[in-house]
Amino acid sequence: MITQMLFSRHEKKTLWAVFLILLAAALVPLANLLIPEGSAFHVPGYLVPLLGKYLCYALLALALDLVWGYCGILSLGHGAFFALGGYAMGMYLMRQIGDQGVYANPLLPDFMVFLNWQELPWYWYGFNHFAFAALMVVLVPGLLAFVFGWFAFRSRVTGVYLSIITQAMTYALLLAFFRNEMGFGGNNGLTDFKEILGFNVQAGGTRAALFAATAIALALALVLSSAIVRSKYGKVLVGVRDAESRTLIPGLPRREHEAVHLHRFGDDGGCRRCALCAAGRHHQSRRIRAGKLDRSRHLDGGRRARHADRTDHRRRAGQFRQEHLYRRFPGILAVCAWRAVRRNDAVPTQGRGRHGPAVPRPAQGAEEGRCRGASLSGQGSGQGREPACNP
Amino acid sequence: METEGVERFVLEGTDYVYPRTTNKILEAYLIAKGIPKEDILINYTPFGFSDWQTEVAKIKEFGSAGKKTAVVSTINGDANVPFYKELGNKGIKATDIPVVAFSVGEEELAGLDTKPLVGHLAAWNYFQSVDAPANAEFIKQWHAFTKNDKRVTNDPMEAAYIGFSAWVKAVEAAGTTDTDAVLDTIIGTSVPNLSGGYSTVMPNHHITKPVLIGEIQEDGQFEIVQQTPQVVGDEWSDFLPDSKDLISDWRKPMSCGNFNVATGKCGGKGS
Amino acid sequence: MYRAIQTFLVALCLLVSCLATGLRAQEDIRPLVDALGAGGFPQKIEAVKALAASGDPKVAEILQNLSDGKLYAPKTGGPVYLEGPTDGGYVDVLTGASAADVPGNLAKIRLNNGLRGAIGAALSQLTLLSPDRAARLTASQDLLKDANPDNLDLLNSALAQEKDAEVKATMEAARAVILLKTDASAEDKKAAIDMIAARGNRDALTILTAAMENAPEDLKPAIEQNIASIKTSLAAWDVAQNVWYGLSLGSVLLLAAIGLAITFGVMGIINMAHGEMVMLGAYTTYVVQQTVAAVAPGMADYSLAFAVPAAFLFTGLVGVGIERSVIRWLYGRPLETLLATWGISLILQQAIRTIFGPTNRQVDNPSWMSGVFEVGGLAITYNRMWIIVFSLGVFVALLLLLKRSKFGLQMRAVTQNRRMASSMGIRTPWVDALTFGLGSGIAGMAGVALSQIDNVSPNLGQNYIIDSFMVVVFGGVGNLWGTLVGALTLGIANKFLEPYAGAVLGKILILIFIILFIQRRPRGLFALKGRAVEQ
Repeated sequence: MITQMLFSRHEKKTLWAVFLILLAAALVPLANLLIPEGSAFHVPGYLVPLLGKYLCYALLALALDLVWGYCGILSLGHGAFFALGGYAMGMYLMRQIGDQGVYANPLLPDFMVFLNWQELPWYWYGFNHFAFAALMVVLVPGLLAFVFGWFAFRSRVTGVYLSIITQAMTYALLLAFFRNEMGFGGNNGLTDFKEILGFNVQAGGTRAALFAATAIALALALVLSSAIVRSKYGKVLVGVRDAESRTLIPGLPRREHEAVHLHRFGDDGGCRRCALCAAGRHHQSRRIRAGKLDRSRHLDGGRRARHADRTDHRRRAGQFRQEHLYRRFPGILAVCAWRAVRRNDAVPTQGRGRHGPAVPRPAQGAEEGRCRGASLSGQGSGQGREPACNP
Repeated sequence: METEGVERFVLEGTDYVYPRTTNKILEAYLIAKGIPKEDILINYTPFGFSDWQTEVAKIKEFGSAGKKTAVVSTINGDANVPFYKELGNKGIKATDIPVVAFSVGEEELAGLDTKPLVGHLAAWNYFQSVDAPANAEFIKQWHAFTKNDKRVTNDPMEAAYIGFSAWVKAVEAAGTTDTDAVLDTIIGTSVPNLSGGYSTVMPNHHITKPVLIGEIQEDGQFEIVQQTPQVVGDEWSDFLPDSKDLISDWRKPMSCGNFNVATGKCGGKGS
Repeated sequence: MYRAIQTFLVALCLLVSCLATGLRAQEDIRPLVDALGAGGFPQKIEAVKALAASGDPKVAEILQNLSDGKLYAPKTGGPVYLEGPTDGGYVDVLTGASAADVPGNLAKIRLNNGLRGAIGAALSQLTLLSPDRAARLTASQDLLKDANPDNLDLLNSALAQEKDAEVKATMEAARAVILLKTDASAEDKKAAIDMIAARGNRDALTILTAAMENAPEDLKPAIEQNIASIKTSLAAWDVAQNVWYGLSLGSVLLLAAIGLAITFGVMGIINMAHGEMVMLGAYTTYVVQQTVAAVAPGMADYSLAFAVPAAFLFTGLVGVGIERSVIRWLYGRPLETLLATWGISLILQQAIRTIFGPTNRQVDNPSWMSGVFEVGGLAITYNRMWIIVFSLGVFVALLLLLKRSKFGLQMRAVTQNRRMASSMGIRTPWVDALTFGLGSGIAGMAGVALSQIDNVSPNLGQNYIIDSFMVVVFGGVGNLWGTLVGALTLGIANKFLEPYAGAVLGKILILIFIILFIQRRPRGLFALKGRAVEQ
């Protein structure tokens, strides 16, 4: 059932890509471990982590494509999400070193002993469990992205401004992580990893397994994002990208979407990927540094254009009251958003966006309570009055 | 330093592991030498820091407590140029508050107007101004190689020179380039260094070199004002309580980077 | 006739004896001079002191030569020689005659800071009565620093005949400091303390703190009181000093951002290569300085005057080239522009790295931009002051250009309504190119200024690009006044945070502040009103 849902909607080339990635997930480790050295088909040991790293970057690029390509948000903060995922996994690996470190302190990582720290900072607790770390890999960047997106989109910070404040965020994080007082190893970062889940990170077998895990994660992420893009939600996103104001008029609370959306990018698109990928990457290169937060990291991914938003006077007119409402009843609006999206299922989409595919257009006067920003009613929007939202 | 009667120290560094290590050892050393803790100011700045106005003013203020003050700088890379420019502009001369740099060499000075900096100090194992035939030959080859007779040489270059010569010798002795075999033969290998002596690879993988203290000259070179005989690199500082029991010996069968002589175990402080 | 011969003989005798005494005097100090070449630094310091004490008129010159590094001696000790006017030649230190049979192992006599200090102190004694005002001032300042009680008599006699107010004040301060060290009467010491305290600067604080230790008990309260009052006034001056630092940082930000305020603010192009334009400007300064030094060494101090227009023209041309070749195809697609200009920035960096090498280039500060002067308790460095003046000048010039010139009018017309402007006969493509060139050219001029305080390296631009964007966005896009206010606000805020939070944390706080500020006012401090906002 789920499989059907996942696969029925995909294009052929997506499926082919997934197939090829999975094939690589199986073949590369086998060719590395089983085929003897000297054979033409042997994959040398250094190449496995290197390829794994590329797969990680592919994962990051996928995340960026989702945000940039499908929603038109150029987030210069993706490097930061990527790195946060990496740090979360790195903290687990640090804790795994235990007393095998140079200072042989069973609790504190080496750099903390070196800096004369007496106890583990609170935010390092729990990272000795893999499951917790894996959860944090997704949660921390996701939460950051959600909070950031929530505030930014609520105040209608868009386009270039958003790019620049995400850049500011990345830069602030970069500076913060460089500080040794932060407890993340400063410029040196987290190094000298020994074990993951009890396996030696340097061993060929572990590396091959990590490569396979990375490839599978990439394949899953591809399927997932493809599914997202093809869902109604994805279509709304494209609509928002191409003509934000028009999507707003039919009653789709745009900001909620973008906030949710950036969250999802943080979460589904970005962070899960970033993080997984960072985690993977991390095992492969065994070293994370704050330098990875650098802006150069995230500019090589997306390719789709974001087209300029159309101006709409009506939107400006309704802005104040809308915002008022959004601020007060975020919960209501979340439900509204959901309903609005659900409503659209029944409606055939029409090509409205000038540059992108279709913008869903809700039917006029649907009998079910259409959710709209209450403020829009009475603005002479030409859409008629609809009942205000009521969960 | 001792000859200048300095009583107050500013340890100014870039925020990363080398300055932090150095300053940790230095602080312990100075306290062991009877310098009270309030006469030591430790400060860190990030990489590439460029606006030194406040920091230099802080140094100047710290230096105005009536005691001779010196700055020990472990500032790295690009941040040095604006730092020295600010020092020069603030009129802080080497005779007022000398700066001893651990990581400023000829290459860094090449990007600087050195006139205001004459007299500030640097500590290295090699300077281009070392007066030795081997060095003259090396500089000549370097100028020919870069086709630029203004290019300077510096300590890291000498380190690479020694490192490579030692490796070549070890490979010759081992008869193979296999890492493990070379690691065994390299200990005890002795090769000529550029300051006219020999550098020997010790069991702790450090080598013996003289320590030179040079003063910046107007032409961007260093004038060597103090020189020690060959010094053996000490891998674990004797001045830190945590590491004074540790030694390192990569000879078999010990092969341990942090052997604890107090507990007789490999593995740091041990427990 | 007989008398004439007699007179002649007497004169001859006198001459000979004079010569002989002269020679003898020279021979007297020769061992002292030769002592300069032997032993360690402590011995050399003793030799300098002995030489200064000899009172020979030649001593000042010899010490100056020593301080300039012109004296040579055999490594094993022995006679000291002076570097000759010709390469490789040596002359006698005392007579200046060309020296024969010079030993082969001569080496420059090395100086260290202790020795340099001793030479300075000795020279100051010798030049305190010099007719040259500058020499007297340096000498009295050296005496103030050195404060050796032996110089008290010398100071007294110099004070008696000094006319210049500043030199006299310094001498009096030096005398006061020396008095504190001697066993002068309590009244004298009290007067000396008041004298020093009246100077009220950090040096006075240093002197008084040092004097605390061996002051007589009854004077200690007075000293303490003076120290406290100096500290209070210094604290007040510190606030002013922080404002100055902030203005200075703000002017640097302003310079870096003002070009961006044109390309990004007015035209809406996210120009990630802006920092590289700054970098190109700095390298132009380097090239101009090298050329001037080669062509007209006398003009070296004024090479910046040539560098400013050169940098403007060069980076402006590069900017026009970039606009014509890349950016004009990307109008209306801000995010692609961002990506493309970022690529350009990498290309430019690598190009510079290939041409000039990865290491820093040396750009000298001209003499009128070096040094420091004090206004009350404010220490103002000349280079920072000139940069503030320069940035404000650039700002005003740009404002006039935009508001008062035909080009400015066309530029504003094009950015506000391209189609309308075009139908009015304005050649919009050219206006675009020139506007972008103007923005780039200003960035180049910023590079000239930054070359005076920062590294001239291929990475120069990167350090400023994020800050520039923050300033423009904070101030409000499309508004030059916003950029000015934004830059100065951020600069001052940063400098006030720095002493409490540290440099890094201060910067982080500023960034967080900007992020939050943009949430409240998405269009910056001075938001543009009208249709352009929504584009």
